[in-house]
Amino acid sequence: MAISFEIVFFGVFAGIAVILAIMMLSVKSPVHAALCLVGVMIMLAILYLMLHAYFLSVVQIVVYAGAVMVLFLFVIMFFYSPGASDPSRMSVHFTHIAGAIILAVILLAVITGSFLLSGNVSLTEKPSAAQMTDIEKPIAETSEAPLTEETSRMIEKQNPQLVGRMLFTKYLLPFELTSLLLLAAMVGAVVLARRSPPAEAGSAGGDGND
Amino acid sequence: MDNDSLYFLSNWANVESGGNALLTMWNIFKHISIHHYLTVAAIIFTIGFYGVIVRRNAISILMSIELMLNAVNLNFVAFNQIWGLKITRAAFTSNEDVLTPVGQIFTIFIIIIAAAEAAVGLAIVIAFYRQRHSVKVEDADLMRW
Repeated sequence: MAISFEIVFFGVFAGIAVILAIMMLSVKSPVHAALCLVGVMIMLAILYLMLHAYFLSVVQIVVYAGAVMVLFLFVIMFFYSPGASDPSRMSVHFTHIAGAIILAVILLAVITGSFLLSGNVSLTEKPSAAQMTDIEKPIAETSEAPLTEETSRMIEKQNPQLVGRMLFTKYLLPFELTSLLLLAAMVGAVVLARRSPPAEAGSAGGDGND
Repeated sequence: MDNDSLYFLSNWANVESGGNALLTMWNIFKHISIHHYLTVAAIIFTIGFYGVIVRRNAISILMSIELMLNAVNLNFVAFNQIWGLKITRAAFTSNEDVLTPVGQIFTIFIIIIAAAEAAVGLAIVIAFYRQRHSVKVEDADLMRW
């Protein structure tokens, strides 16, 4: 069977993502590194599209590639002076190479194992419904047909409507708690990045909590 | 069904009974499946992890952490497509089966927390720079001894 279009698309975008991720670590300028990271995130957003996660794909671009990376770029511009080279990056330690080799071996082992051992599931016959716990039941129902036509037809209905409905009904409490988290993070960021707290506390006239 | 039998082919049994391991892997690789997404996620995660342990610039470390979080997100979305909980929703004429996007919702939470982490982390970097005039992590040695 010939190689399908889908895998060609996947290969192109995943390859670009991996290359950009490697470039992120290898380029000298931190601004270029941040732009490479933006590229990785956009490629991942395309992979989300291929996985029918449409809403998430847009969120990835807007929040990650937009907001978070603009924050990073602001801070990089704040510190970065183009003339100054980073001497610590030039020295390639022996430990760095050893770490890279160890990580690469582990990665290869994991990938090969996941490819080769995955089919083992089918050797045992499908457990009967009586043997399954309640948690396992729906999983076992759908794990039979990964990415087949029927599954992808069901996935097609995973539109933003469904995400929003679940986010605001079943997962309402965690969703509201994240707003609290974001508020705490915002206050924390403002307090941490405030300029020279002792002087301000002195000028504010004694309500000086740090 | 081609995809079906392919995915649940007993790969390892094939290799054990004298099949070529590389050929078996290639046979899986020819068709798009969750393995591809997991492989890409694993590669990106490893690159991010390598960045975390190698880089000394605090901002680069934070960016590498973002890379790792992105890889985990890709895992979540990929797994959601085959192991998402199936629910039956009442449609206009009949009931229809839909996969609940639990993995996508979890990914949204991860994105929110990553945004908070980036904001606080970068604020810490700025505060640290004001103290030490450096963004190198090895300069943060006040509690070293």
